[in-house]
Amino acid sequence: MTALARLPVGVRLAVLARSLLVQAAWNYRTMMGTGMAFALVPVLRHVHGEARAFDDAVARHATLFNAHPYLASFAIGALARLEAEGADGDTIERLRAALRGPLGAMGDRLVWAAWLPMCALLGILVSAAVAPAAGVALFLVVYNLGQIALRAWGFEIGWSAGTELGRRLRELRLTRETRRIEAAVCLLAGAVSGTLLTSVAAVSSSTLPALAGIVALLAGYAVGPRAWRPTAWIVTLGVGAIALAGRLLPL
Amino acid sequence: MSIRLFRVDERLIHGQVVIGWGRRLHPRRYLVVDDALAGSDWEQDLYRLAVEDEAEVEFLGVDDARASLADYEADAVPTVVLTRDLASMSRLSEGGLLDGRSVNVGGLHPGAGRRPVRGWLNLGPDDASHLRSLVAAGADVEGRDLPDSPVVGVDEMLAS
Repeated sequence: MTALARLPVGVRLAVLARSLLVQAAWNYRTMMGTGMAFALVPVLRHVHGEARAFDDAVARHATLFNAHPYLASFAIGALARLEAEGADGDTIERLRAALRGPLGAMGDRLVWAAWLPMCALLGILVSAAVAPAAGVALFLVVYNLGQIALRAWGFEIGWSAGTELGRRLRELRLTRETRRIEAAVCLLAGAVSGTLLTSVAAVSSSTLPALAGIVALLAGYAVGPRAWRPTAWIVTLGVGAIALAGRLLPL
Repeated sequence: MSIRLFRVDERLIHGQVVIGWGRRLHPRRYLVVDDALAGSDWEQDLYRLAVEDEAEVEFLGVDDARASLADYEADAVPTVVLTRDLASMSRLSEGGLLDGRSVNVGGLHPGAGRRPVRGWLNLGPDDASHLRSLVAAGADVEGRDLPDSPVVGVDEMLAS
């Protein structure tokens, strides 16, 4: 096992680079199966050489699989470990099957609902407060450093855990980290709202921001998460009442 | 009746089940009936991750599930019962255990030797006989991936 644990750096880097394309051949039949096989090729070649076993292994990983594209790297690492250990095809298929559900759900919450909005709000805040180009550059750098680090870390966790990945993921408590990022999203949303509301444009023309607010509220009501609708109305009516009081009362 | 749904789904606990059906039925427990998974801790750990905090997940072999199904039905915890193939659901239904109950078939994916009924519904060579056993045992079988999707009748599954 000690020899196996030392997967060459070149193989690791090749897997990381290929994992960026894990969704490139996404389709309804195998979902990201083709991408998983593509990402695993450097490991499979290292383990099986160019023989028949290599072809069989590639075919095994090209079947139906789905996960969040970044968290797929946890699966890539764990499956690479099983291939390196010479696990039987049945165990590998059972690991693939069990990983299809949780990695998608965890990734949706961690990345699409937390990390992406946090980075976007950070970029908007810097765009408004410093310079638009600086905000765009900051968003691109921070977001992508995070997702590439997540992929690299995911592979290492998967590789070290193998079939114990479920226990390892529970110990990592990614849900707790997700909640921390969600808290940062709320903080930044408040900062961005404040920055935009107190900007010159908002003060000099009161009609446009009000119209934009109404449109945003209706759009949010139509397409937003059901659970937040009452909260959104209360917050909007509260902010509206304060704004109206500020205009009507001679303070 | 505490059991809100009997469902056959290869992926067991995943987005369609937890979000699509879960938000409609509000289960506090998923009971996975599968002989292989009942004895495999590492696989159970992985399947449990998909519903962290929201509901408990239990795994039972088919025979154990048959013996305790009445207890699950009698206690107060809203439950979704899942199998990953028609064979396990058919065995669960033997002797009229699912008589009069609705059995939902959703998420049987394409594979070698399987014929497509819908993109998400593909039947293997033995599945027609499992479907007939379920119907004969009194179960009301319907194909449907999500609660608001159109229903695929058992006749269409057997005919295609």
